[in-house]
Amino acid sequence: MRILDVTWKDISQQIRDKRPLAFLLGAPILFTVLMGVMMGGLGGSSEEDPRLAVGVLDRDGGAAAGSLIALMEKSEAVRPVRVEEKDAQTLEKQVSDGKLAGAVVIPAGYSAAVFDGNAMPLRLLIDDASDAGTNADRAVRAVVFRLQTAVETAIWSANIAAEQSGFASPAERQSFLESTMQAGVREWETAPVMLQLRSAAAKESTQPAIPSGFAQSSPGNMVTFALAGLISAAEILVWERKSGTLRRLLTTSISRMEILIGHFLAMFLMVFLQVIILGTFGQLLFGLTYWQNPAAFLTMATTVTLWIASMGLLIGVMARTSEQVAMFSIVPMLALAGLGGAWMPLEVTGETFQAVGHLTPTYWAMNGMQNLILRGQGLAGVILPAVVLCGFALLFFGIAVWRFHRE
Amino acid sequence: MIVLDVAWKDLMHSVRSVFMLVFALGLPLLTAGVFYAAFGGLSSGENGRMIAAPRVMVVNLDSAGQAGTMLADFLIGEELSGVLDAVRESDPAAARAAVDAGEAAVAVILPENFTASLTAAGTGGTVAVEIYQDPALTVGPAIVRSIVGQLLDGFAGVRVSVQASGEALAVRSIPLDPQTAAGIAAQYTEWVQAQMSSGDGQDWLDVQSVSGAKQESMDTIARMISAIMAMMMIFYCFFTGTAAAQSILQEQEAGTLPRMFTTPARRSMILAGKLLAVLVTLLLQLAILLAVSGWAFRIHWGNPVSVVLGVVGTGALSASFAIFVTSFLKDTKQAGMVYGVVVNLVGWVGISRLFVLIIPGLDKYASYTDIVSLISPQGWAAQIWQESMAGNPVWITVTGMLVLSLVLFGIGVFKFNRRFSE
Repeated sequence: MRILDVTWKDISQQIRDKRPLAFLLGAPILFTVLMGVMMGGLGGSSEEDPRLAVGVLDRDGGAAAGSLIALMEKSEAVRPVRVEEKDAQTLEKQVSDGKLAGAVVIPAGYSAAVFDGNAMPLRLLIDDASDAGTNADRAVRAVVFRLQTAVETAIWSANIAAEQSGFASPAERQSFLESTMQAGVREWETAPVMLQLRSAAAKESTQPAIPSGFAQSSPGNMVTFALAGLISAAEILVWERKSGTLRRLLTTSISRMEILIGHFLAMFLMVFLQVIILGTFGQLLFGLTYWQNPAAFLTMATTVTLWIASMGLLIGVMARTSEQVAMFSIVPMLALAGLGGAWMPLEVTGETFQAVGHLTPTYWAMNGMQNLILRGQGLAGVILPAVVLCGFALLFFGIAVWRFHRE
Repeated sequence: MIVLDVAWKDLMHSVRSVFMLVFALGLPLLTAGVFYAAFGGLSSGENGRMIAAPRVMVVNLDSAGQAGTMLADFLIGEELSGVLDAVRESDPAAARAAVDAGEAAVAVILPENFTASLTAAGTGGTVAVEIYQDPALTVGPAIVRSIVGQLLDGFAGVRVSVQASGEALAVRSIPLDPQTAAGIAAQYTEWVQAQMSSGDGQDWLDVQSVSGAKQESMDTIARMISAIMAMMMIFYCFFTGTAAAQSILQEQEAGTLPRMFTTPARRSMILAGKLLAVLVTLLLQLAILLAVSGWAFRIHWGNPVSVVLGVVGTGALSASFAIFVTSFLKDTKQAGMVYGVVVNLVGWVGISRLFVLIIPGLDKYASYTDIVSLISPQGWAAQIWQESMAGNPVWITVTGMLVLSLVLFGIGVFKFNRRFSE
């Protein structure tokens, strides 16, 4: 009962001032939306055609140029955007400004040259320092390979035809070359081998199952701002010590352990509520499946909160001033969030960084949450993260108890 | 002398505060440091980011077929060892389970009839190579898809070539007998091998980068870390300015400021001392952040003249912005709220021009953010550092910053004078 009194006192102190509460819910929601929309660039784009736009300036107008554009239209990675000659001067700027991922200039005489076996290279403009540029480069190379296969096939076939029946005129030969090349381009549409992309969470498709930006920003901000919530919670402990309330409390029959558990419970309830609200928000607004398996989500919410609340307790026990509370909260918040993959997916980082990231509780919190919303896993998928988080919670709680008893 | 005395006292107060030091210097460096470490800056060196090679489980169910064996061997072989961390697995279910458990990024499953489907004498249908990926990952699976896609095109080209040839020759009533088909397949194989040995389509494409000579020298990591560090520096600089200017409100509440006004020292001198302290604090912060980040993260901030102008412009603008905002506040209670909301929001608008440069796909919005960001002082600061790092002239921007500083400073001083003369 005395534990609950301490808990209730802490909660009522915290909810008295509405501004931090608004911050702890408003800020993560705002940042989830902002970062989610921005990270859409990494995957789940809302655009109708998510393929990279590649400008095509056709100065040739021949059959090979037409086939190249036809192959680009069928590409899964790039889509051709026709550019008129009058806009040729702006091509470089459009690519460097990022309006186009790349631009292909087909030189005049290209179609004639490819059948003569004369190399007449296509000019490809890209910003090689950007991801879009690198991807466009790769995709255009694949398209040109397909075109060259069709061209070479046409040449080999024309040689066979010339041997067997001959051509009445160069024009007939040219017509044969072009029709064979077009047949080759058509054949690529029904290539004998295709990639079938599958994942545990997605149905079979030929399009990659790419997570939306919100699947990263929602759990990322949930964890980051749960850590930020420690500031006001831990400050109560500091204030109690500075004002002498703690000493007065210790003269009563309440034990040190009861005081600590009371504070811990208050932190737990506040952070737990925050995590549940943010998870529900993510489900309702972005369709993230936090609640698909309620037991699994509640397990993750509980263990994430246990870790954060015990860390808050440790900060409250260690800090002597409000400034120290802010420092002890914000510095680990930034470090743990960054290292553990709350700001960006760890897969885009270096090997050493990933190894260090795996040692942080943030990683396990992100991993467990993403097992629910991305990998479509249930209770079994959150057991390991939950156990690791409990381990961190025990460690922090143990150190806090030890420090408080030595005080 | 009074100006210097007041400035010295405030400056000492700032530099003795561990809290202030952590926020002004520690947090911007910590944030940029996390990103620097994340993208391999500590270990990778010069060329691009060092993304860990994705773990790939290769399952070849076409072990009797030549194509399946070749493809599986190539994926696992030495040639791709720096790009893929591929291992062989015989059971598709085990490979998928490894992906589900997060032990691998992707499983590539080659079907039983893989080789048969590639030959003209085969079924003629389409066979699917399964790419089973961890849905939480994007980059690793994209690399695998790209590599496998290219290899499959190489294999698939045989049948494409034979069938297109057969279709074209049929129009001229020339039947495609097995011998002719084999001839086409052999020519294709020879041609593909020649392309592979001469390089990936070097004769077909003349690839030109639109990055200028200066930009080319800055690799991807450096550009990203520079943008992040500039963002953090500007963001925290404006916070430091407001935190330092808050001393006016604190002294007003504590009663020390009104007491100072009763001394022979002129009011304007006391205020000038406080402003000087804010400015010196900011200049110190900027100098330390530039020096440490330049050394630790190898950021090239620009030529010395541009850097000095950048420091002066940013320092003057953050100090005057701090005075401007603080002049509208009654007490420190209001300050917490206003600094938190206003400085944050205005700051994000300002640094948006740098932010769009570090998130893939957002650079297309740069032309908008370049304009919108200039409605906030932080946007001007972001612009001058962008120009300085790109080696462009900064004169126009620094002039604009100083004019804006004068306007904000004038309004702030006017409001303070009115308040304290009441």
